[in-house]
Amino acid sequence: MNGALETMDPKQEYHRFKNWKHKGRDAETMRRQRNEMSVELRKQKRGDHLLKRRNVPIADDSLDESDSETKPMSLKLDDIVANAKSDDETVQLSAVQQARKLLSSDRNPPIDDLIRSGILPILVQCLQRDDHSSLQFEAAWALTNIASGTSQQTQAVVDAGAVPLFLKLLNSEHQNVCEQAVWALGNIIGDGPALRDYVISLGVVQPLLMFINPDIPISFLRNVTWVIVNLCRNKDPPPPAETIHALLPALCELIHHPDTNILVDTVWALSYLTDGGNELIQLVIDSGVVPFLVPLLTHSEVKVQTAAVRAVGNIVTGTDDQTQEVLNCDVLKHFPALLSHHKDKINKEAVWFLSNITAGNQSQVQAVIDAGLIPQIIMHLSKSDFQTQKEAAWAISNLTISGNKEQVAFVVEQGVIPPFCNLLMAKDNQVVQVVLDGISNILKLAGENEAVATMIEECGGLDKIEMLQNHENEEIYKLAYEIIDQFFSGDPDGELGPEEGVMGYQFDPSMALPTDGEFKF
Amino acid sequence: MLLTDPVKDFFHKIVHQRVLVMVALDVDALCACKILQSLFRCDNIQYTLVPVSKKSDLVREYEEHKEQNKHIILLNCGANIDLLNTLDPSEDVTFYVIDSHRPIDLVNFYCERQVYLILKHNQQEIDAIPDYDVIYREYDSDEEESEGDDDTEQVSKRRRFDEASLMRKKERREWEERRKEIIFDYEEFSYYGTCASLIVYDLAWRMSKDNNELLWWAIAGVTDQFQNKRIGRDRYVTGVLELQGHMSRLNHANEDEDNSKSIDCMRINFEHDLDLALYRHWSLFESLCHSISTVSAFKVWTNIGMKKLHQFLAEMGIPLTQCKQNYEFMDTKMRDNLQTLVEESALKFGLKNLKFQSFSAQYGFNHKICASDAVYSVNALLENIKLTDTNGMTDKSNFVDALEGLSRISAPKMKEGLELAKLQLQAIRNNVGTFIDVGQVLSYGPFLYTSIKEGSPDYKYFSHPTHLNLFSHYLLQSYVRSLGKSKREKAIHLPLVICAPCDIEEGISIIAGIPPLADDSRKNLFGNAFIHAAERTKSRTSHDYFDSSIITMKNEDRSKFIDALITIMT
Repeated sequence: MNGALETMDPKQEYHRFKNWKHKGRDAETMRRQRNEMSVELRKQKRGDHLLKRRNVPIADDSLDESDSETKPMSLKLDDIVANAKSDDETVQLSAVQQARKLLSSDRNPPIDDLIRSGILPILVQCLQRDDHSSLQFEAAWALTNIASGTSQQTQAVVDAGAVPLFLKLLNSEHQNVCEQAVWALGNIIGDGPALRDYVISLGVVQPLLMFINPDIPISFLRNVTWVIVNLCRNKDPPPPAETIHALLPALCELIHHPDTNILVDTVWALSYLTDGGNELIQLVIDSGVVPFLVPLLTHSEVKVQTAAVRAVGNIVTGTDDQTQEVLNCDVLKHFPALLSHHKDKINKEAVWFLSNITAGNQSQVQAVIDAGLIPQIIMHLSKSDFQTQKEAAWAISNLTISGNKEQVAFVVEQGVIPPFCNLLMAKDNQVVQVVLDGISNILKLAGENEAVATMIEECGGLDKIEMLQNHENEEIYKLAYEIIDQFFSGDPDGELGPEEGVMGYQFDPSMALPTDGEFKF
Repeated sequence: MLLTDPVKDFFHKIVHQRVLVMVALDVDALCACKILQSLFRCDNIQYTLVPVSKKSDLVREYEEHKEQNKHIILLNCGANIDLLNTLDPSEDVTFYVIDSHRPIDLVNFYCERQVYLILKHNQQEIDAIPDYDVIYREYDSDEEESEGDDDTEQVSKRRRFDEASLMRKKERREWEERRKEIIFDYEEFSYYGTCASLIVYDLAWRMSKDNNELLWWAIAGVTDQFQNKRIGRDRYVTGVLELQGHMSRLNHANEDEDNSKSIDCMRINFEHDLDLALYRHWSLFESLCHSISTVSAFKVWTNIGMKKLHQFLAEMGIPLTQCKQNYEFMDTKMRDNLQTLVEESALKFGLKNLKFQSFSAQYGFNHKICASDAVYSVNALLENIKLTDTNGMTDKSNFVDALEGLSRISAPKMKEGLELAKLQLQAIRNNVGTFIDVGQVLSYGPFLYTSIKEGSPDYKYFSHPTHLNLFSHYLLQSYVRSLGKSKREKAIHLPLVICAPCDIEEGISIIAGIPPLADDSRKNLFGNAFIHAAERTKSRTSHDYFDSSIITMKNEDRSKFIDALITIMT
C-alpha cells in the first residue's frame, strides 16, 4: 500500500505529460468521435423527412423512371457484356455506355453484379483504345465508379490491371479522358496506404502536378486537388517523403486559390500531412506554408476554418520549436473568434489547440495568458458541451504542469477552481484524472498559501475529491487520496487551517482585487 | 390524423376500454375534462385523470400509466408536439388529441394511426397545413452520400454521377429547401384554435347527451380563451354565437312545458354584460380599479387617474358609498340600472368595449355567476400559490381544487377561487402601477421588455404562466395607453417580452412573449424566436410549456439571450 502511494517521480510525470501532448491521444480519438457524430447527424437528417413507416402511407415515388422499363438485371448485364465484346464499334460503345449509366445513376449501382459478369477485363481493354477516345472515356468513367465502392471492389479494378493504363491516359490529348483518369486514380489512391503507395510507385505524382496550370478548367483542378488530398491521407505508414516534397510546393500555390472547394481540400491535405508525425510537420513548416495557413482560421467559410483549425492544431502537437513556428504567425489573435464560434466543433478544436500550447514552455504559456484567452477557456470549462469542457480541462491541467507559479496563480485568480472542480463529477475517468492532476499541481505550487485549499473546499471540490477516494479506478483513487493526504489532512491544525482560511477569505479585502498579491504563492 | 367522425371513431372506440385522460392545467382543458367525465359516467367508462402542466409531465405520466392504459386522451396538450417521437409508444397505444394549441405538429397530422386529432372543422386551419407531398418524400438511401456537412472530412472515394442523377439531386435539394421554407412558414406563429371544451361539447351534442351543465362548461372554456387573450374578439363572438344557438335549443323545450323548469336546475342566460372583473362579487369601485380596460383607460395608479375615476362615478350618479359597497349590498335600484348607468358614463369618457356578450348561470335563487368570473375563479384555483409545496404536489392539489370549483356553480370552492382571484388581480394592478411609474417597461427596438425582480412584492404570482400572461396583457395595454400619441402609435405595434423569477433557488426565470396590442389575430411569433435565440447563444433554456411562447431559462444566460432575441427580431 505504502509503495503504491508514493508520490510519482517527477520525471515520470513529465513523461506522461509529454505523452498527452503527442499524437497518441488527441487526433486519433477525436477523429473517431467526429465520424460517429456525423453519422448520427446524418441519421437524424434522414429521419426528418421520412415518417415512421408504420404510421404513414408510403407515397408513390414519382421519381421512379429508370427501373420501370428495365428487364431483370442479370439478363441485361449479360447482354451488355456480350455487346461490349462486339467488333462493331457502335454496338460496343453503346454497351459500355449502358454499363456506365447503370453505375452512375443515383440508386444502388450494381457494382458486384457487373464485376461478376466479367466486365472488368473488357473495360480495361477499352482504356487502351487510343483511336477511340469516347470509348476510353466511357470505360474510364465506369471503372471510376466501380473503384468508388468497397475496398474489395477497388482492388478488383486494380487487379484487372487498370492503374498503368490510367497513368498512360493522363497524357491523352482529350481532356475529358485525362480528367476521368485522374478521378479513377483518386478513388484507387483513396482506398488506403497500400494502393496509394502502389500508384505512387508507378509515377502518378509528376503527371498529376503537371495539370496545375492557369489554363486548367476549375472542375478539373478540383479533381486534381482532391487526388492530392488522397495522396496525403493515411498515416500508417505516411506517404513517402519524396512524394511529400513534390506535393508541398503545389499545396503552397493552391492555398492562394480563390475557389473555396480547392482551398478546403488544400487545407485538408495539409492537415493530413501534419497528422503524420513530427518529421512530416517539419516538412510542412519548411515549405513556408504556415504563414498562409494561419489567417485561414478566421476565413468566412466554416469549412475552411474547420480544416485550418485541424491543420494548425496538428502542428502544435509537435515539438516546442515547431509550436513556436505557429505562434510566430500571430496565431493567437484568431482565437477570441474561434472560442466564441457558433459551432461546438470549432470551439472544441480551438480549445484542443490551446491545450497543446499550454503544454509547451513557459513563454508559450505566457503567450496564451497575454492573448487574454484564459477567461474564455474557463468559460468553456464551466459551460460548453462535454467534449469542449474536456479539452478545456486538458488545457488547464497542462498549464499547471508547464506553467510557473505566477502563471498558475493567474489562472486561479481568473476563477478556474470552481468549474475545474465541477468536472470531478464527470463520468469520464480520463477527465477526472486530468483534473485531479491539475488540482494537485496547483496545490503544490500554492505551497504554504492556503487560499487555494480554501477555494477548493468552498466550491465543494473537497467533498468531491473525498468521494473519489472510493472510485473504482485505481489511478483515480490514488490521486484523490494523495491530494487529501498531502493538502487537506494530517495534523489537527490542518483541520482548523482551512476554517481560518474561510475567515481570512471573507474579510481580507485584498481578496476582492485579483491583481493584488494574494495569489502569489 | 384527423378524425372526421369523432362519435364513431373516437367515442365508440373507447366505450369498453380503460382510458387515461391527461389534462393540461388551463380552464378550458378542465372544462373539457368535466364534459368528458360526465359522458364517461353515462357509459360507465373507467378512466384515470392526470394533470400535466408541461411536456416533461406528459412524458413522465405517460411512462407511468402506459402499461395499464392503451387509450389516451390529451386535453389541451399534445397537438403541437410530435407524439410518436416524444413518447415512442408501442403499437397498441392510441392517442386522441383534443387540443387548441396551434400549429398542429405535422407528424401528428399525417400519421395514419395511433395519433388521432379531434378538431372542429375549420377550413382555414386545415388549409394552412402544408400538403403531404410537399413535406414527405421517399428517397433512396444511397443518394445521401455526397452531401458533405461543414465538419465532415473530405471523402476518400467519389462516384461520378450522370446528368440525370445530378439533376435529380439538384431537384431534391431544391425540394428540401422549399420544404424547409414551407415548414418554417407553417410553424412561424403559434396561436390557439377552437377550444377543447367546445369540441368535447360538440361530441356530447352529436350523441344527444348535452345539457345545460355541459353547455356551461363549454361557455367557460370559450370565455377562458378570450379572457386570457388567447383569441381575439372576432373569434370569441363566433364562439358565443354558436353557444347561444345551443343555449336556445336546450332551453326552448323547457319553456314549452309551461315554464316548468325547477329553480333547482341550472339556468343559463345570454346577456350583454359589463366587461368588469368580478364586479358582482366585489364592489363596483374595486372592480373598476382592477379590470384591464378601466385600469388602462383611467391609469388608476396615478392620482389624476383616480380623480378621473371618481368623476366617472359621479357622472353615473351613484353615490361613492354605494360604489364602494359590496355589490350584493348595493341599493337594488342602482344595481338594476347599473349597466345602463355605466354604459352612458363610459360613452362620455370615451371608454370602448366596456360591454361584451356573455353568459351567466343561475342555480337556485342565491347562486348566480357570470362566465368570466367563473373563469377568474378557476384560474386562481389552478395557480394558487400554496406555501407548502412538497415535491410539486401543488399542481395536483390545485387541479383537484379547480375541478371541484367547476363542478357546481354553487360549490364553495368557486367562492374560494373568487377571493383568490381578487388577490391576484390586486397583485397585477399594483405591479402595473409601479412598473409604469418607475419606467420599467423598456423599448428594446423590435419589442418591449420588462422584468419582474426577485424582491418585488407578489412576484410569486407571476412565476405561473397564466398569471404572467394576464399581467403582461394588463401591463402592455396600460403602458401603451400611458404614452403620448406619437409614441403610442409605435408601441401599439410592438410585442412585449416579460421575464419573472420562476425558481429562485435554482436560479431559473420564466419568460413569456405576447403579441402587439394592435394585432387581434393573437398570433405569437415568440415560440420560434426563443428557440433560435437560445440556440444562437447556447442558453440553457427549457421549452417545456405547451405554449411555446413561454419558456424557462437560467438567469445567467438571460442577458445574452435577450441580446440575441433583439438581433433576430430586428
